[in-house]
Amino acid sequence: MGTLEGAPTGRLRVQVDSGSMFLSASLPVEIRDASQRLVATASSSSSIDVPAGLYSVDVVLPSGERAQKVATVEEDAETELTFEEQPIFSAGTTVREVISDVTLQSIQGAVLRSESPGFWEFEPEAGIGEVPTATFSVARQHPKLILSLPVNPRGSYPLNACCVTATRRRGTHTVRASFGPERRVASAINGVLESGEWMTSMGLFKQASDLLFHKYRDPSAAALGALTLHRLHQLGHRHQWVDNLSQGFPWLPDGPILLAALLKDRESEESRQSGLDHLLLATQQRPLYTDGLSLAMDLLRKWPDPVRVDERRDRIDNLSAYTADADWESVPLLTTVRSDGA
Amino acid sequence: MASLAVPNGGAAPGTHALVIGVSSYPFADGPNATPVGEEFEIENLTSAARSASEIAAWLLNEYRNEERPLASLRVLLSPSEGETLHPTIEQLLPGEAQATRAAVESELGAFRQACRTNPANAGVVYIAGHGVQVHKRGAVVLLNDFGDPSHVNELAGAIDVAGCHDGMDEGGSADEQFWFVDACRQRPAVARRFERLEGALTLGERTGHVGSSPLFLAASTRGTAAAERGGTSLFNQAVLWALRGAGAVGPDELSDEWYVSVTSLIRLLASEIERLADSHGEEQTFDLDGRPLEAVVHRFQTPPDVDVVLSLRPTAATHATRGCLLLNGRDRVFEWDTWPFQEQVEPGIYALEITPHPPFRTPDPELLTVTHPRFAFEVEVA
Repeated sequence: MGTLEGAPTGRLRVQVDSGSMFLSASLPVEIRDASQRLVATASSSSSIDVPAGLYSVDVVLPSGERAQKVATVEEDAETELTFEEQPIFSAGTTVREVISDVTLQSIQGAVLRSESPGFWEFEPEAGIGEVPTATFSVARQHPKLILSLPVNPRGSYPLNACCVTATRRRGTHTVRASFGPERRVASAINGVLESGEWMTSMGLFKQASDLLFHKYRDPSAAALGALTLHRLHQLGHRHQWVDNLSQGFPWLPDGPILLAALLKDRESEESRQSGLDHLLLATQQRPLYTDGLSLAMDLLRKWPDPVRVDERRDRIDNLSAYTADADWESVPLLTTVRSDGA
Repeated sequence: MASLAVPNGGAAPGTHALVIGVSSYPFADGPNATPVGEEFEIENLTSAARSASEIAAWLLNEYRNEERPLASLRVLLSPSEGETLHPTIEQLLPGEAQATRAAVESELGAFRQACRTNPANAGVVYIAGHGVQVHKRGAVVLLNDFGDPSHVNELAGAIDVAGCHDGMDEGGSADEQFWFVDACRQRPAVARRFERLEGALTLGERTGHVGSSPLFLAASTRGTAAAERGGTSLFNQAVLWALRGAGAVGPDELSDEWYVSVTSLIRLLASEIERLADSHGEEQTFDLDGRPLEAVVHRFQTPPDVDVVLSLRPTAATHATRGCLLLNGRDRVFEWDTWPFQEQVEPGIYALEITPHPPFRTPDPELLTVTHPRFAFEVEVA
């Protein structure tokens, strides 16, 4: 609970009904007075004492959408505002446009759990050795689409699943992957990431990433949180955490790529050498995330020591098969297969 | 030398700016094209230099940051034939301000030195031209002498923007830096040749970091299409729209005045660029990199007004129905009886009262939060 200076005369309580206890208590809330001056920032499910008057309350929902409501706070009374998350889109909902021109061609490292026109749900195969992918073809579009699948091999259904939807972006058909709707914390990271509400949600990212790794044991979602924190220079002291992600899940190259990024700046030559070892090993595989690919390319180009240059060039050439045709707007890596086989 | 005279030149701390716009590629397009330049199959652009000149003019005429007034403005522009620059900049720009590798290297060095004079400085960088988004975290922009046969390396006439950004992210430099890159993306076959980035202009990395240094990166799929011919690029329009008020946020612990923040730019640019691209039938991507921590980009003396549109349903009810907006639910600031109501309104919370003529019934007042970038609301009367 927060208390403002002056004479508090009423209480404002903000609730978010998200279906997850963690998210319901952790979403960022902004409270502004009638002139739009910021009065307080808080987390959802908190109460704050404010002078009687009109307030606008903004919440970043797990989908990443920003929702706003107006509250009238009266003297000696508690005003409660409740935000409800819109149901997360899943198979069988009818609100979306069905894109039937996209068809699933093949799957590597995962199995199809359910399917409807323009929608696929995948689970991981047992004992996966590399990032699972699905290949799609689009009618009247020549290149095939290869999508990395953010499944969770540590969980059981539905906490291990990811969803893929066919969608239209600027006149062309493509696909988008998301965590299964039951992976609520993971979905929140994805939603916030796609909406651009990064800084207002920094605390959420940090807590959610830790939670995904330690409690939910969801390495693919935790890797996305860690990549985002690294991008925001907020990965901080999570070295051990990233080390565990790297060592524990060899099928997920984004972990060792992140570890290399942390070791790159170490004073110890041995540590940097170890970082480069991880990087060169990881970049023989396809990353799960577009951001993992970007980070790997950046590290290969700008490694601080002038060593193993030929190997780094070799890996850059390998990864350029993905970068040249990557869809940078897709969070999981989405590439196209062109006629030259790249 | 491409440094323009600014009213508070040399202010310490101050804001230092570097603006580069390249539309003309003589070694890649036209009679002087070289085999190396032609290999990349690029054409002269129509609006990169113009767009950059608009940013330079905004910095000169509209940028407001009393704690760090504009202290230096370095501008390098290579317009294509027939391209019109912002008149203020065209008038002020010294004769030779082409954005060649040598000129950019020189001005970038001077800009870096200026930023280092005081950690409380701010830095603004805007670069527009043909480019390659080599990955999610960076881009290469081709400079005016790209393809010059005298260059030893074919990428000598290019700038690695992410590399320069990382080089400027050093202890002691301007603690707040804002980087904007407007690159026209090349086809994949061409993009592959850039992967190693060897030879492109970059800056060496030093120790330490600045406080905030977001890199706003836009890339379009086609060189000339993502800009209005003879006008400015879609990214440029979105950035200036945000800076001129659409990105304004109310006072808080960071600023006791209305201001444009890094967060508000992140929020707005992605959606506005997508909206503009859709309306032009083009593809334009937006990404964010660098060190995007919260900072004040630009301040306003008074809260910028919001474009408000209030409409009424059903249409039959619009005849003789009165509307009234009361700021903070108390102070009557607008009354009207012509629909839709369209006005520039001070941001804030308003009560909207509707008084229709019979047989329509008076609805309960609505509480509306009028905020940037624009506000639209439809009232229905029974």
